[in-house]
Amino acid sequence: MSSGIGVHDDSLKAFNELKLGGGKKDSANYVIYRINDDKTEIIVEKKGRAADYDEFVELLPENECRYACYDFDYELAGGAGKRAKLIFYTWAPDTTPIRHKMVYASSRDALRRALNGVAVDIQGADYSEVDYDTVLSKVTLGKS
Amino acid sequence: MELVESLPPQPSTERARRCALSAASSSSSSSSTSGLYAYASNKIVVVRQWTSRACVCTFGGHQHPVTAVAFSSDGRFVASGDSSGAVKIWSPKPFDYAESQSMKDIQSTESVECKYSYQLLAGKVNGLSFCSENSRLIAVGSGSSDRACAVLVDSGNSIGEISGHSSEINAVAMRPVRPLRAVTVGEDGNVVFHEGAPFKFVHSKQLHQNAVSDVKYSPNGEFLVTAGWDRKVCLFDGGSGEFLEELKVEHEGMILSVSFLSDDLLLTASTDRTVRLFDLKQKKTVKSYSVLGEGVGAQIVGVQAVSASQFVAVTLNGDIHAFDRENDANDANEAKIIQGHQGAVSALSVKPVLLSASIDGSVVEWSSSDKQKKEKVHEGPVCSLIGNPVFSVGWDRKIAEVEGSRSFLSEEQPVQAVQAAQAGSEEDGIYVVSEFAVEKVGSKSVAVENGLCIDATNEYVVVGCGNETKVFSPDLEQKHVFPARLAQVSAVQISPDNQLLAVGDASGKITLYKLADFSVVTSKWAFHTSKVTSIKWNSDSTYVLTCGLDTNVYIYSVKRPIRHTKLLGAHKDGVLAVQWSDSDKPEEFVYSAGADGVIRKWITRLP
Repeated sequence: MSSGIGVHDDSLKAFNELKLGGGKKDSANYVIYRINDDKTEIIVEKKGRAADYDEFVELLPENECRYACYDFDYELAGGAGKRAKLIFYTWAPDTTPIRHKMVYASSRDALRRALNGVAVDIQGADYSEVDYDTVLSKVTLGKS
Repeated sequence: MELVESLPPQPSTERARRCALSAASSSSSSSSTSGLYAYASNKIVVVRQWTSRACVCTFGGHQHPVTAVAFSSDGRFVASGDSSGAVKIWSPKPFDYAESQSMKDIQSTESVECKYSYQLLAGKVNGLSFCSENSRLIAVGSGSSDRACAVLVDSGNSIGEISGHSSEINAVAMRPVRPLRAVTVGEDGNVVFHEGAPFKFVHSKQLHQNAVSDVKYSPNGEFLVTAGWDRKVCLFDGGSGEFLEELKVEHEGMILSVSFLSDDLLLTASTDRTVRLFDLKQKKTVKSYSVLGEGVGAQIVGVQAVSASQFVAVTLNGDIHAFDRENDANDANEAKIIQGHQGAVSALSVKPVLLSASIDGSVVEWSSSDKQKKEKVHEGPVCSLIGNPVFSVGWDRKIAEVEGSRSFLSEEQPVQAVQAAQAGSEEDGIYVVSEFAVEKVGSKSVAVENGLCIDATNEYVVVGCGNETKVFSPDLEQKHVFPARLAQVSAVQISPDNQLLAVGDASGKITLYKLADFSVVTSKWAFHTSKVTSIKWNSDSTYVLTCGLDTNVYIYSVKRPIRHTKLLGAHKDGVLAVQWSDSDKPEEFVYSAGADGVIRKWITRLP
């Protein structure tokens, strides 16, 4: 069931910049979204370039829900080269009030369906579920 | 993190039952496996070499207690069977192991992969035997219909029928030379001969008045020996299975195990606390070896020749006595005794020496040499080893001092402790938490509900009660209660600088609090998937070492909470205790101990 919360245009623009940035040194490699205080729209909270994966994960707040996109770089096993995949995160920590989690869960589809080209969806309830190794094994289907 | 050494548990023993024990035969082709012996310790199999305190490897592939172990005749494989009837065949070292490598390299190889796994019986496996070509395996034991199974090692296909027993089969031996013969002995006193392959019944002999406990062929296949509860040792012709004579070994208790030291020398182990060496040529007992200790605990439940002059005997209390015949010349009857735990290790202490305590109430001191010192201190499980000098606290309401002189003092304590902690030095007091109260030993007690864990320093006492964490002053005045967690608090630890508090719970989540204003520093340490069993700070309060029932060990960084080092599958069935090492570089090594009874030392990789 949808909550009726919409997606702000800037949110889609930020995603397209991320997608079409093509891994340039200075372009953004993450976008973090949140629902605005009036609970009417999904807006961009933060976007930019994280030096490594851990730096991006540290941006996810400990007690609040978020959506996020990250351009995940990884090395293929056996030296078969580098790959990058767009990952969509639904971040809902255990410690968040249930009301917030419900709003984020019911609004997720509005944003997610508007984003084309996401390779992997990650649901995170604690930091171990968005850990580099956990995400890597999902991205590579357990081959790495 | 890399393994430095594993200190294994001792064999599991049962009264009046031969313990599962086997050795790579001394005549085996590859020299790298000679001197190795394997035994079962609860759900794992331990492979050791002579008297060294570290083990060569452990095998944790069984889901049920292991009840039978057998080396193949070339020493390259070990078969192990458990109480559910599953038989696994594995190699105690890398498969393409170069013979030129020294024994030391084997010790760094801890991961042992199962090569074949078969469900051969419907009940407990009591005995296993390989044929001389290592291609066939016979498993015997209990079960409602099939008590034995003869199979090809590499396919599990049946190669004949083992029959002739009316109750549980205790042991099996396959002839080490051609033509193939297999002999089984059982609880019904029967000795049954089979020809093969395919194996079929030839004849049976009812010479023993009671259960027959063991059967062995001499290495050249010429003779066959059976021994049983009726103190008789019977000699048979190896080829035809004809009864030759009864050997006058003259044990005063039932004989549980036999082993050939060479073609003519037979070892017999008995509950009369002796191992006798019998010469088949002279037809007399050459020597009687007795073990240390008295009473039931010193009954010998297993004997195994390891080389042409060395053998090991296992007593009911789990001690391994290693005898070397080369000492016979100067008439020294001295055995080297290898001691350790027989159950899960529940507590560790590194100051001043490595000490470990287990759920059977014993404390073992692992000094740097190959000598262990074991003392049974408590009647029930030991829950904590605390302070320096070290005190052990047990469920038997006793706090005992583990002194430098290693004598044990005790003082009565009114409640059954769940966990204990010491604040700073001995004078600052020992705090104990039980289900209903937290107590400063000898001075004050405060009632709490569902007390589970405790830590104390000279400024704070922190107690986990149910889902809540309570902070007390050293005089047990309540200062603060943290909000209830989603699961029961299972471990609390205050940092050495008194600034931070790490709280772990039964769901595997750890929260770091600041003690000055009781605020949350981070809840990012959520990598354990099951109960956090122990949390330990390093001396600089910059890293925490944690372990859990999920078999994993993590090191978390306070500076960057998202960074961590992981060690997955450190111990089968869960890690119960961890400790930073007490060397000059305090973060150089970590120790872990678990429900499998093994203590492991690792090189630390800081996050």
